[in-house]
Formats: sequence, structure tokens, C-alpha cells
Amino acid sequence: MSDKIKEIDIYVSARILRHISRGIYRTPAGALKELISNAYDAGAIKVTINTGYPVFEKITVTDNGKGMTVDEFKIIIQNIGLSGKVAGTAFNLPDSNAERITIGHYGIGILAIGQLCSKARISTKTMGSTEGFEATIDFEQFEGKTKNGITRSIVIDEKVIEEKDNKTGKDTKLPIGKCTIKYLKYSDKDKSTHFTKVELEQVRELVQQKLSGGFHETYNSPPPKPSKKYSANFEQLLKLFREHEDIIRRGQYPYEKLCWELSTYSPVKYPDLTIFNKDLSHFKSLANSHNFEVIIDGMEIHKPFEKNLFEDKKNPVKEFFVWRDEEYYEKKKVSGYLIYRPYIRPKCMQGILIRESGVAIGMYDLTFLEYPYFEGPKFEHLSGELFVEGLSGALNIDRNSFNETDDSYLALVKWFHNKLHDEVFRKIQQLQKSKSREDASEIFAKLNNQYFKKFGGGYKVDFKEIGKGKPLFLKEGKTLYINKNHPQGKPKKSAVDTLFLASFLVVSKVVDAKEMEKILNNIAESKK
Amino acid sequence: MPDINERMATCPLKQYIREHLWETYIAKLNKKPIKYLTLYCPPLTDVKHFTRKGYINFNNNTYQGVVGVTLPDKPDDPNGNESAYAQTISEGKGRLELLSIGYLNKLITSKNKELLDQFPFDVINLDYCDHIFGDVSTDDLSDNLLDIEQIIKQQARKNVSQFVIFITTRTDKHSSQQNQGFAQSFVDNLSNRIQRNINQDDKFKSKYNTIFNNLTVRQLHTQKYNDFISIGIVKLVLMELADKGYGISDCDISFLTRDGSQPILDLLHLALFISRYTGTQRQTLSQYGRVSYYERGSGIVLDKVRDNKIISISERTNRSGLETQYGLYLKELREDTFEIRPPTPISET
Repeated sequence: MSDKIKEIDIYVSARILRHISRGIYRTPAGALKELISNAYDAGAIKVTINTGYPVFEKITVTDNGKGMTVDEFKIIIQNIGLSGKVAGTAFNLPDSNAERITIGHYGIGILAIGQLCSKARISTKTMGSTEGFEATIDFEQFEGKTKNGITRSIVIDEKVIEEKDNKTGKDTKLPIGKCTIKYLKYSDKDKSTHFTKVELEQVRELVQQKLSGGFHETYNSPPPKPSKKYSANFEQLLKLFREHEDIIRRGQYPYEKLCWELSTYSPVKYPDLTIFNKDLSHFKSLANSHNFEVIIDGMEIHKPFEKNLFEDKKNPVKEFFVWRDEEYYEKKKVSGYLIYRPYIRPKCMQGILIRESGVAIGMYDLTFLEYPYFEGPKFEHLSGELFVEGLSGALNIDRNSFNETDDSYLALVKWFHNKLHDEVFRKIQQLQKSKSREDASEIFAKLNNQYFKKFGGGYKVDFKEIGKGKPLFLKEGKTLYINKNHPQGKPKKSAVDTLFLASFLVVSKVVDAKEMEKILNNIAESKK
Repeated sequence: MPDINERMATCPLKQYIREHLWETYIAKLNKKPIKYLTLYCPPLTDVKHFTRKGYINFNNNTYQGVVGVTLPDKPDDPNGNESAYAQTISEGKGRLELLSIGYLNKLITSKNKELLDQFPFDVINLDYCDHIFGDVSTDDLSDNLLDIEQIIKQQARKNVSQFVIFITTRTDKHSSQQNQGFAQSFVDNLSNRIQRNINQDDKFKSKYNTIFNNLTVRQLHTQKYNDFISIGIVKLVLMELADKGYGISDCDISFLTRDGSQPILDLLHLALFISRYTGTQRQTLSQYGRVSYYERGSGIVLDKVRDNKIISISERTNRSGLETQYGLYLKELREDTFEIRPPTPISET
């Protein structure tokens, strides 16, 4: 290297790392999702979450996954982000030979805990051992402090901590809390059990306020509280969510929103929808293959489909689009479906949801991954999911969004947009056109009965395939036939009145049939 | 000392009441499953026990047909601090069909649709932990009495033909402290009620005098306090029932004495089987205006006293035996929640 060229190392400021450690999840649901994902990666087939609703003073997440040894735990807690996990790796569940694919790889679950509470207790035990441990964690840097009447969770000045770090020479690892470990002994009869229990003991005041809706009460003019609606089970909660979606969007019913989000995010099963037995059985089996149960406050959550979603006769599902194991990028596979239904409620199910190993990344995307063509209001009539393999590298650290310049992600977007453009919207256009023609015929038949019998001089008007290049009108006896093969003989719904009046003038002999055909041709030409 | 919820969930004496008093009365309904209203929140031991006995269906994560009401932690703010509500959800294997927070009577009078839509109930368990008319509420009617009034009104509105009510109240005959126990006005009211019944109903008077050897009502109060309170409260409920065309077909009484520690507490447990009165009302001129005359079943409580059917259990006498009988079962019920229950470590190493 010449003297004029100098190589300089690049560093990340401790401040940035510390900022990340203070929380990367946008919502409490996002942080809880991380804990559920950890349980999933630990091979749990059941997770229970006791949120302490409606006060949220303490949240407990317990799973029957493989648990941790003290050494494993120490590595995790002393090297946050230095996980040995590799996303997409297959492993066997603790109690069976069933296989599962890991979904996490950053090893940052502890940050999710720190974002939600200031003190936590983790107790865990592995299978085949009579020893376990209980770790008490104190996130000192997050201590609450009231300033100007508002309790803030970020309090200790970053500069002060950095100076302290510099003095102690801790420039590669940043302390964010303290942990005390207590070793526990279990009886022989419990040897085969395995679990991890995470107790968030001092849930942050602001998290409590966010989840209970209490923050609104600090406003100058607090908005009216919603009438409390109790949900006896998850099905009732989904109904409430659909009926009150407008006020849920305004921040009301935050607990119900939390449950809804977790049911969307988590790799839980679908409800028993008859429609899946017919058209989407592949995806039902795909989702159920995860063998993963999440229970929140006594409610077993499932994918947020109401059981009667497809039974609304007023708004039936018009079309399904299904793709199975299609390659989108270098042998990486994608499966998925889209439901076309002109009325999709709740609105937050409009759009496309991407799942990686069954876990949702973000929520339903109404832009359809920024689909670039204009398609009118059709987007709001579509809801679906894509089950994608090999996208873990494109995930951002919060596992809630993608790096949109990742090659796999871009390939997926391209694949999906082509599907939308060439299959989905083309088919929807055909459906809408044929629907329009059907509507036109129905309207014409109605007008025919109402007016021709009375004022048409005994004539009736009907449609007939007379042939291409043949005249538009043909009189046979007391019937005036309209040639369905003629360009003007297949009116859209909006042009029915014109054709009806034209027919009326012909049978009334006000205008000659050939003249009228010319007039209609001219009108159509001028519209072009 | 464990808190009241802990005690309710683990006390074998209470389980005795559940099994021998409450369950017996539910069985009289000959109905499965039942529609059940309970104030027994949060521990939900009653709900879990009746579920095990087949009186309550548990499916789709819900105790079907069960409605629970918890009191607000801050009485002046029904929405304030809902920790009892949170604990109730935590204690269940799933959720109740409806869980409300507040005073039952206030929820009803404020036309809380969710609650009103749940009426009628087959079994109503008003398991109050304190006095149904304590000495702190001397002026107005107590919330507990108003609860009884409003519940009967709603049951009548739905024209239910029969149902069961359990009422629990502290009686504290052992209490030596002043200002602890029923309000004096309430005790006077019970005295007047019994006296009026003696004056107006010859049958009742005759039975009363035979059983209590011609004691005056005042003497009954001082000498046979438990009998006095039992008869008085049953008559109080009867008045409410009579007003809505109901009477008592059967009733049973149990006393539970918590004498294992100070202060000693006494709890009266009443079980009342209530039926719509279908007989022809006697209508003589002299009987008009005498509401008490139409009280149906007030003599039953005297029969129970006469036949020594009032059960008394106490911690000193019965706890040990009942602990052996119910201890494990209660532990099992307690742990029957929706959460994964890790094993308990045997020691720290």
C-alpha cells in the first residue's frame, strides 16, 4: 500500500448498539412475537401467555420447549446477538421425531424482554435432567423515571453510560442489565419434563398504558372509552375486531388488537374452515404441520379467520388463486393463495401477508409489495398469504419487515407481481366483464317485460346469435331479435338503456332498423 | 395469612360446603348443564368443581353458561384497578361466558346489556365474604341486599320457574369487637320480621314456640344467635321472592367457623331452592296488605332447626380430616388453569 493510500477501520458507535438494545419492536405485540418465536425455535408445541389483562402488571410466557442449560443461557445473556441459531435449520421436536425449521437467528429475545419490563425472571429445565435454574434479570439501564409528569423508560443518559464504559474498557460488550442465577433441583419424577417460563415482573408503565388504552386518559380531552365488550373465546374476539375495526384503528381495544396481531404473526393453525377442505387444503396442512399451539389468557388463538368467513352469501368468494411450490429464486420455493371477494372485513386482512417458516413478516400489505400497475379498487377485494422459503436473509432485525433490496426478496416481488398481472387481475377483469354482461341481459329482460308488452305494439325483444357481420336487428313475426354476435349486441350494463330505446324506436317504426344500426355504430365509434 | 382468594381456593371446609350443600342443591334441579351466575371470583374453584361434576360444560375454551362478577378494587371507580378481574382470567382453564366487573345490582340497574342478556340462571351463587348488611352501611340498603333484590327481579322478568340461590354472609357471633358485624338497623329489621310472622301466621307461631320453647325474638337473638340470623335472612329473601310470585321449596343452612386463628369468623351458608308459586292465594279481607302472608316456605327453616339439620363445621374440629379428604383435589383444581405448569423444584442447590 502506498503512503498516499491509508486503510482505516470502521467502527459502530456504542451509542448505536445501546440504542438498539433499548428496543427494536414497534409494538408490544412485536416483542411478544419474539418470545413466541423463541419458544417455537425451542421446539415447543404449546405456549401459554398470561398477559394479566386488563391491568398488565405482569406478563408470563411459558412454553414446553427443550429448555436451556445454565451454560447455554450464559452464552445467550452474555453475548446478545451472537446466537448459535441459524434460520432455516431443521431440528427435531423434543418429544417426537417431528421436524421443524428454526425461524430466528439473531438471539435477541432478551431485548424483547427488556423492552417490555424492567425486571424479569426466567426459569427453565431441560429434558432428562433433575437440575434447572432460575435467572432474575434487572435491566438497569431502562429504569423508569418520571419527568414532567411522564414516566420515561429511557432514562440513564447515554453519555454517562458511555463514559463509564470507556473507563471500564468495555468497548466491545455493553452491559444492559444484571442477572442473578439460582440453581434448582427437581425430583426424579420430573426428569422428563422440559420448559421455559419467562415472567415479566415489572411491566413498564408505558407498556401497561399502551396495552390498556390508559394513555388516552392523559390527554387534555380524553376520547370516550369504548363500551367494554368481553370475549369468551377467540372467535368472539374476532367478531368484535371486525365490528369495531374503525375504532380499533383509532387506538381503542388495544388488547384485542394485540391478540389479533399475535394470531396473525404466529405459526398457529387455521380454524376449521370448510373451504380449506376443498380449495386450500394444501395451506391448511401447511399451517397445521407446525403443530404449535398458543393460548393467550385462556383463549387458544388460531389464524384470524372467522369460521363463517366464507359463508356470507351476500358477499361470496368469487375466485381462488392458488400456487404450490413454485420456484421464485434459485430453487427457493413459494406457495400461496389469494381470495377474491368484493367485501373483505376486517379491512386489515386486505392485502398480502408474507410468511417465512409459517411466521408472518409484518402485517397484510395492501400495496401488494408495491405493485406498479394501476388496477383500480381491486386490491381491496383481495386477501391472501404467501408461504416463502429462504427469505430469512432478507429479514430486518425486528423480523417484522424486509430489506427491500435483498436479491431473494426482489425475486419474490417480481414473481408475485407477474402472477398478479398475468393471472390474478386478468382473471378478475374477465369475471367483472362477464358479470357486467349478465347484469345487462337481466336489466334488458326486466325492461322488456315492463314496457314492450304495454307500449311495443305486441312486439317482444330478444337476443339471438344471428352471426358475425349480420345486421344488428332482425324482425321475425312479432319478435325483434338483437344479434348477439354484433358488436353493439352485447351491451355493457351502462349501455343497456341506449339499446333498449333503440329497439323501442325500431318496433315503433320511428326509425328503420338499418338506420338505427348505423346510429348505434356511430355512437360506439364516437365513444372510442 | 393467605389472602381471601387463596383461602377460598385451598380451604377444605369450603370444599365441604361446595360438595355437601351447593352440589346437593344443584342436583335437585335435575338439569345438566346449568346456567350459573357466581360472585366466586377470582379463584373459580366452584366453577371448576361443578365442571368436573358435569354441571358445567367446558368447550371452545369457555366455561359455557357461566357468568362471573368481580368487584372493583377501588369501589368508587368501577373501572379502576381491575386486578381481581385479571386474576379471575388467570385462574381459569379458559374463560367464563361473561366476566363483568362491578356491583351486580349496579350493573343490572344501569342496564348492562351483556349481563342482562344472560338471565335467567339456574344457579346463583352470592358468596359474599363479608356481612350482607355490615355496620358501615347503616343508612342505605347494602349492595349485597340490592344484588338479591335485582337478581330476583331479573329472574322473574324471564319467568323462570325454579332456580337455586346460595347466599353466604359473615355472622361473627364470636366477635367481641365493637363495630364489627351486622348493622344494628339490619338486626332490628330481622327481629321485626320474625315477630311479624309470629303475630300474623298461627302455624308459624305454633311451630316457633314449640321449637324455641316460647322464647321471645329478642331472647332468640341473644340465646340462639345462629338460628335467629338464619331465620331472619331467609325471611328477608322470602319477602323479595313473595313480591315476585316465588317461594322456597327447600332450604338448608351450614355454618363454617374459622377458629384456627384470631379473629374468629363465622360464615352462614344458605342454600335456597326457589319455585314459582302456583297455588291459589288465600284471599280473605283480613289478609290483604299483609305481604308477609304470601311468603311461601318460611316454616321450612324452622323444620330444619327442629330436625337438627343445620350443619356446623369449624377449622379446629374438622380441618384436619377434611384436608385429608380434599387437599389433593383442591390442589388439582387450583392448578387446572390454561397456563403450562412447570414442576415445582424440591430444593435450591
